Amino acid sequence: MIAVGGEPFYYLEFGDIVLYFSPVTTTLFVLALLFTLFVLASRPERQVDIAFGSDAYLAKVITPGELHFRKFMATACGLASMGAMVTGDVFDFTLFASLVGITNIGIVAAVKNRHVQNAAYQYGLVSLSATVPLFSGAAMVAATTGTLSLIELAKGTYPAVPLAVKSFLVLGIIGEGMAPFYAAKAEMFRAPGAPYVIMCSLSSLLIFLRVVEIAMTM
Amino acid sequence: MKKKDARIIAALTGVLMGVLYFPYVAGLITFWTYGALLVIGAPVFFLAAGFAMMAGEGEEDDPFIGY
Amino acid sequence: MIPEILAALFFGLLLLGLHRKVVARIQKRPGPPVWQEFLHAAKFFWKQTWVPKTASSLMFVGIVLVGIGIWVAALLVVIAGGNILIIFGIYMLQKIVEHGFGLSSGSPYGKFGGVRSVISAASEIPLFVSVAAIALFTHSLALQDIVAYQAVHGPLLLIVPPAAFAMFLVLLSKMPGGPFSVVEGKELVSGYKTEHFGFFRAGLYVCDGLKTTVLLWTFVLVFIGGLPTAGFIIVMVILMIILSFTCALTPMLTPFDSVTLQTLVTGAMLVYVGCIAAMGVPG
Repeated sequence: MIAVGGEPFYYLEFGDIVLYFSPVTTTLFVLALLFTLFVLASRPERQVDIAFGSDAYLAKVITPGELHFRKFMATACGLASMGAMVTGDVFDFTLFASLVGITNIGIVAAVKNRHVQNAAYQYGLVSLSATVPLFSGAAMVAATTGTLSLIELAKGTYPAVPLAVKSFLVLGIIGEGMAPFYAAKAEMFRAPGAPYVIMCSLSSLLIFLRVVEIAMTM
Repeated sequence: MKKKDARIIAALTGVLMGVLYFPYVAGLITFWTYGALLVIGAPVFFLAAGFAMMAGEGEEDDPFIGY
Repeated sequence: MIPEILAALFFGLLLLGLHRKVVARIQKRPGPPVWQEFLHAAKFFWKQTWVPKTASSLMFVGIVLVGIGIWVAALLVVIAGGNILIIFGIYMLQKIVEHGFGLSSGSPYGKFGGVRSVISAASEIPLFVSVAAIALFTHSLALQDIVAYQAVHGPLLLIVPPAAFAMFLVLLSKMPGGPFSVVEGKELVSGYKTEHFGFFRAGLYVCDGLKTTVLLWTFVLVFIGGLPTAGFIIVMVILMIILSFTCALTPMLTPFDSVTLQTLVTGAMLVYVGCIAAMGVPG
């Protein structure tokens, strides 16, 4: 059926919302799960910085309050990515993708560093604007075919989704954190706390991989 | 991780991967079942063997920050 | 399966050694022996190892597990003739692994290596455009279907040469000392690898060996098609020598130039795939 991602071997139904596990979606799901477990289990590193003009260097420590907030946001980001990986509904996917955008800002929101905050703000602007093509892409899928279910769309009995609509979806996801818009995000990685910051890039990569699969399935 | 624990983990994963190779060749377990075991087992075996043999016992050091 | 994994690992390390040898000869140096990378891996494995004081220890160790695991998985997907989207997904995951290696230690050098690796995420986009170009012809992304298509219609290298070129650039961006290898610039000591020493570094060599074999093998399977084993080995060695020549004869770009160039290639590829889609695929 869904040839691009391989044949699904398990369907999980929540009413008319169906999650499906094909080789590709399962691989992506497991990866998101793995890194979410890392977030939950690991402690942040202490970034070493050289104090200019002397031999000294400092190690930045994350305070417990900041730690809890960022851990929460990174976990939420992991959950949103996991959802986006296996959902069989285009609109759900766009919702998860925008949730990933929000939590990405959340992950660095508690960091007291001007560069990080500026980058997060710029990234926020880009991803906010990207939600316009993203959601309108999903809306146009429904408008042109009458369904949002990927499983239905993959059957080929519905009218073909126009290339422009697919490009809208992909453009929206690219704005959520892929190159070239990634440049806005780069400075966010100055923030200490490797396990959390990694979720920012992992989630973007995973939702991009998924949107490629979705665009080729429709 | 203690060296003794690492030794046990390395031995377990190594033996498991080695022993299950024969049923795989004989066609008793599928490619992907054995594959999944290798994907998880190979890195665990590698690192556990490393920890068992070469883990440092002194104090840790600071990262490299310049010559 | 274990013999295949070990063979792929040794072959990949030998290919990387060959790369160093060819680059050295172009620069009129004798260069290290071809099995040097293998010696490095063995040497690092037998060194006393610990986790730095400032590191996020679980991440520091766990990322080595992830690194080896994903490339073993990629190799198995290639052996099984599975879906190339999974292989390319794993290829993109390598970025996250590099990022994790760099950031988990707390070292500034590792961090810059990791951040550069993430900034150069532009290198992956041509990959997906070339995947789209392939899918237009083969109507499937399973490696065995792609090989079967080429058995009938001839190599995709001749049918969609720009897609092969884009994928070649992707391979190039993963080669040490290539024009896009900003991750390993000498100003960063060893980039993301700086703090992983001892058997952690040996694990990195395992990743590199498997990665080299998987990427070159996928390239040959996708653009040339099925060959006998000896044929695969010969073509992969030739491909490696071409990559080495390209690396030796091109300067390393700055991070932003590298991203710009890769974005331009992606744009050109998008136009190309758009043209194919608009004109309709023969057959």
